[in-house]
Amino acid sequence: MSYFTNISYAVRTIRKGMALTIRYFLSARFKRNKKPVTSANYFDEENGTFTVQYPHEEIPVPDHGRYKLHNEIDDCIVCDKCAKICPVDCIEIEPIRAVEEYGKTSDGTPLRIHAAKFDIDMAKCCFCGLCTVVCPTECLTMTDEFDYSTSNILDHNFSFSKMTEQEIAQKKTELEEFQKEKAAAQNTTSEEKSVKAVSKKPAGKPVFKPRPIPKRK
Amino acid sequence: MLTLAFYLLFLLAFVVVAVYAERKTAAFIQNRLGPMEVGPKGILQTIADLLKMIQKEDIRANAVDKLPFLLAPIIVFLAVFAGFSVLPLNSEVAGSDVTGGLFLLLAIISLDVLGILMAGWASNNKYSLFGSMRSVAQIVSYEIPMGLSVLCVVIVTGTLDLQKTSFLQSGNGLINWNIIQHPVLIIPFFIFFIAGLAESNRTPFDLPESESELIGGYHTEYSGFRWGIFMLSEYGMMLLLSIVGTILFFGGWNSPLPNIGSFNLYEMTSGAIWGTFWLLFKSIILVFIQMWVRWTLPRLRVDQLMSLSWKYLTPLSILMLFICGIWKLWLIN
Amino acid sequence: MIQFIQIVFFLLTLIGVGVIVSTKNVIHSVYALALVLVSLAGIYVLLNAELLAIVQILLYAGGVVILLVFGVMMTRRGSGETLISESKNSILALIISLAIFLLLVYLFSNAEVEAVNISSIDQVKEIGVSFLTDHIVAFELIAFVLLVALVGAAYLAKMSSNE
Repeated sequence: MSYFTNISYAVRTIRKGMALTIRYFLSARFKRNKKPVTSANYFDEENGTFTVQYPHEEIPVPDHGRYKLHNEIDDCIVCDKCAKICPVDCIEIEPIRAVEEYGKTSDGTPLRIHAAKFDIDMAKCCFCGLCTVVCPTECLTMTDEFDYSTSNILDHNFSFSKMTEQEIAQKKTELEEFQKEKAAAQNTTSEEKSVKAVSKKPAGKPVFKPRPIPKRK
Repeated sequence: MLTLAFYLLFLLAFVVVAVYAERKTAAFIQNRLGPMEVGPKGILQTIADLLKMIQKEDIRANAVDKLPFLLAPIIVFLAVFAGFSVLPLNSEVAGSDVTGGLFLLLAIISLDVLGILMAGWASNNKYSLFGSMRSVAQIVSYEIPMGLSVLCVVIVTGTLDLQKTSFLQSGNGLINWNIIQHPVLIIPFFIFFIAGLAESNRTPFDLPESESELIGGYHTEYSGFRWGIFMLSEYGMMLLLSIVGTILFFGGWNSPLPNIGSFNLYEMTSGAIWGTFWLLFKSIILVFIQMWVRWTLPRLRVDQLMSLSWKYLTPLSILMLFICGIWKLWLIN
Repeated sequence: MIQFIQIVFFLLTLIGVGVIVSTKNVIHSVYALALVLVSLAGIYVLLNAELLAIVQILLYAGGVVILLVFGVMMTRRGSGETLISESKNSILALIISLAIFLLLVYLFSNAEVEAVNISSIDQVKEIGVSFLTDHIVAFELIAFVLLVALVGAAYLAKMSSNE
């Protein structure tokens, strides 16, 4: 008897499957709405073609998405915290101490160190976002830019320093001269004073107050 | 001669469009878009693929059996294409005037087995050999239900000539079609369609070239243009079986529109050009159904394939042959 | 034109036969056999024996040759080496085939064959009617033999799968 059961089972299942696929075929008239992932009914988009033809059209990403890192160098106080916390060591900083405070960031923190080199190698980056959390001035952020593939992996090393070679050289010599002068001044003064000078706090330490991060909805 | 020349040109154009249509059908069923880049809506994709394929190197492995290897795709294509010679095109242009044209068609398309065997054997490759063995086993077994289901139509119409079969179904549109005039032919049509899928090695019967296990089956070792001929033959077979199915069951080149009262819709949509249009239109709908089946049903296992043919389709088609005989003897006359 | 096609078919037949006899590769001789059978079908068509041609293609080219190729393939896979036919006893074979040929020539030259214009009759119908009237016993007998063969094949297949 299973012979006829098999036949009816085959007919029924084939009919059902064919009905299902033709429904999908006909629903291809519709296209998926390009809604961002934050929209409430993002996962309800089941009908119609689902493909997004990427370079021609995009699904909007949230602007706080964890994609490419960006450093606003004018606001950077070169505190090196980001480089220290980075689990994969993708941030490379070469600081040059300034002779004196040379400006202020947009939130009022004094700038005392020049960034001769501020490189972020996005090829190494693991997109954990820790560097953006520790950044005291909030100059290091993750942007919504995700399409920056290159044909050469070295092009994934993004350089944020704006200083030219001459500027770097100039700042270095300035610092050297300053230190020489300082050393000379120390030599002229009495020896007990030099002990004091060593225990003195190093200059260039940023003074900042952590601001509460405004909550996003 | 005229039909053959027409069908050759039509087949080439059909393959270009059908490959695109197949990919689009697959895409739509799977919620995708399919080819979109080459030309508007990707319509030139097949032409780009064709250009690429023709430029490819004609690779011949050292250990192949040279002459059969080179001849095999040509034999497959010739066997399929020779089948087109007996098809009518419209009420004025008939195919080759052979006694028993339908019989010839079935005989000659069974020759493509020889080409497939040749390809598989000459490739000197285990995948190819497996593919061609499966293909031959499959085609040889499905020829029986196919022949029997065609025989049902032959019993009812009483002729082997496809043009005569078409003329028998003309007049007043849809209601004169074999499948509606003789409802006993509905099951033979399904048998014919399933066997046709198996004959043209289409999913769910694509064991000979099942990519997941046999790489490419019997055409594993072929590249470029020679591989293209295999592809052409597969689509040619699809078209051929669809046209034969149309002629046998769905009225051939007859218009489906009936006369309504004094409004002669049937006569208005008949004639040489209309006839050609209707024949090809109905065939292409059948081709679409073949594609639809392909993207719905998964591939059968070898034992399932054989039991479907020998345990289900063959007994059923023998039964239908008997019923058709009764229908012809007592119910029509 | 028709004569030209006829000559082409004759030549193809001869080439096929030559290959069958001369080649040492068994599978090549099977292909050549297929060529011979199809060319013969072509000659039948030119002689207006269309049904015979169709049957020739269906049964011999489509059936017997495939069976032969299958047999050869199975044999080679079993032993794992290419199958080479050895042309032994070629002189004896020549004598026998020549004798059969001469016998056939003698028979045909002495036979009185009525000329029938077969292009004017419905071959399928005529053959079908004579199968079921004049030759009904032979027809049914052949059907019975085929049925027995089928049952036997099924029995053998079943027996080997049980072991």
